[in-house]
Amino acid sequence: MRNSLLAMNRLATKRFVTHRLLVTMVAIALTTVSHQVQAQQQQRNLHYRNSTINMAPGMIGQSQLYRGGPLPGYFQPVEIITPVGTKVGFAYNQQFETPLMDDRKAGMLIGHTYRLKVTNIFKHSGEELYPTIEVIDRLYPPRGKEFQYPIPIHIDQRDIESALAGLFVTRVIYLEAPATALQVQDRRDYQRVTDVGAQEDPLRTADRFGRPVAILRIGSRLPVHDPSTGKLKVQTPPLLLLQKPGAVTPSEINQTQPGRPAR
Amino acid sequence: MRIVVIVCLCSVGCQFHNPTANDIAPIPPQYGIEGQQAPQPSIQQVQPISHQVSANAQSTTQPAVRRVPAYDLPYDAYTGQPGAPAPGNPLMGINYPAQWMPVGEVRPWPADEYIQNGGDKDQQVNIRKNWDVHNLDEADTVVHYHTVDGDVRVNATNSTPVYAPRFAAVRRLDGTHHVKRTELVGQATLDLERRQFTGQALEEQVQQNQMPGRNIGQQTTQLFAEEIPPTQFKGETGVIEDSNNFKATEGLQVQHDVKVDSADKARLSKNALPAEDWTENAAVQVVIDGFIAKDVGTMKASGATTGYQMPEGRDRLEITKKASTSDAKPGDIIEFTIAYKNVGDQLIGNVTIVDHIHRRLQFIDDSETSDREGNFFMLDETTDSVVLRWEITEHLDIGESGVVTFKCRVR
Repeated sequence: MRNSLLAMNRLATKRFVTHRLLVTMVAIALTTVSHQVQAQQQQRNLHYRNSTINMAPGMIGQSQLYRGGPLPGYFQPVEIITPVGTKVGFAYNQQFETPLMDDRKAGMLIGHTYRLKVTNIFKHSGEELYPTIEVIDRLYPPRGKEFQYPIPIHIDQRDIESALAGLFVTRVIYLEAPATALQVQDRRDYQRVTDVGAQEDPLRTADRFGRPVAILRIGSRLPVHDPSTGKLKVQTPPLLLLQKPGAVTPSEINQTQPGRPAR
Repeated sequence: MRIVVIVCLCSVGCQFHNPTANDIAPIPPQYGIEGQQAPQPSIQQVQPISHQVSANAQSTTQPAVRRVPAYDLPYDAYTGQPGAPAPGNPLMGINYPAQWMPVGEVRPWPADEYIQNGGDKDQQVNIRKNWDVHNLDEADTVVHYHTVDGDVRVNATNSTPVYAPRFAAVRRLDGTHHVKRTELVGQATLDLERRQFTGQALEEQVQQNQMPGRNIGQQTTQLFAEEIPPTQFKGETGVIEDSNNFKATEGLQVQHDVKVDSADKARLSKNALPAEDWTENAAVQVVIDGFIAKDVGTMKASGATTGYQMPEGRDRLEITKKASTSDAKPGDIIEFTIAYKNVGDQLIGNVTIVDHIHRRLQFIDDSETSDREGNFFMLDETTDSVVLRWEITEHLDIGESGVVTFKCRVR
């Protein structure tokens, strides 16, 4: 009798311990699953999960091309907006064009790095900057109005001053999400900028605010020219230059692409 | 144990789940085009300029001058137009469908390039008895009205997408930072002198005996003893339960023996007259909207219920919303038009239009109009957007309609 009671007691204890162990394991598993689901949901809201701003120029746009969609071959219109009086010139055919004043518009391919030349800087006569633009996504405007809604890329005075002071300026332009848009009036001559610290990734920050579409980088490095030809040593991607009616057409606007067979 | 194994397998399976390339940011399903016609495409034809493209980009013997019409779409700029790309396009052989968008998405796509205004998204709008509007989300546009039955109905307009992308930027400055900092060795000497008390704090004992001032009096408990003589209750027999509501178990007719004396006959006959009046033949005739309500049944008993068959009708209010343009830039002005019409066969009243403006739109003061008499209110419920409210005071007869308009500036 006593032995049977002891046996029952041991069995009950064993069952209790097993039950507690089961509950603990289920709780751990559910917590793990919930964290992973939450992490996946956070990642799903990001457009650039596997990209960081520290990647080489052009890599982020190239990774976008692998996602599919009508991105390859599309010349996304962009508009370069600079302070009044500043001149901007595009690089094509391995050389810079003569910089022109006013806002410049051009069509750029996604996944390529385009070089600019900024001159006639206010209070910095004789100094020049060579920013680069990388378009990483495109817009889908109504048909026939593609060039009425370009991506505005502002190069403001602070960017210029910081670059001339030796700092490396990284500016990620993003499409603002309508649901979380700020209730402020937008201005054509001013683009709202959020400054982040050196430890933050501006691409990730912009991805939280909306959809990043272009990256502007301004450094202190000068382009290297071939001494024999005088042309840039780097390859310039195809560029679709847009001009206003009545403007003087540059002598050479050649959309050359290395490796393409001649017609 | 089986449950644990299954759960563990599920957690392990989630660890190895790699998001695919199609895991794009989900677009809310409410971004569906409703009643809004897509802009008609404009076909741009540009004369293709033939030029030789050489692998060596140094050739300058053939000046390939491309004269691009101002802000026109070049022939080799592909935007999803149907058909194969033009010759010379590096995408030759690839045929994209017209207006391509990812599978499973809802037009207009992508939604972050549009300002959606109108409809009833997320939570469904409901109207309380005090006419308070609940669950009015941002960019919702609804109308509520009263029917002849006293019901309150709520209808939502269609959604009006306007292409209006807006941009901002995130900037980071990297570089070596020079910090000028001077470190000084500081030395401070402070002689702390021991302070000595010159005085002595004596321990004092205070003892105060609290004594009552004087005895005012003594209050002793008193035993209340009140004798309430019993009143004489007359012989009244009341109903314990509410006799107004007949229980289901009780019959509608209370049967009990009644002894009628000769003296009570007159009183009974007098009381019987009202009962006879409320019979079917002498009852009140109910006429509603010219229709005689048909008596569908009468229970010939006291406390009977009479049912009337009401003529059924439809109360419908059709409401549509339109924007003056399908695309706009920041600073442009858009005029919205909300048209409503009574398409039912009943009179409706208290038509109230409520429009929660999108945060990207700024209402222009004094721009509202209405072709019917009513009151207009602008409510700043939140700091992000405003709510416009038109209360039409006129009744809306069958087939009648009205229009309200207002203007907004795109932020």
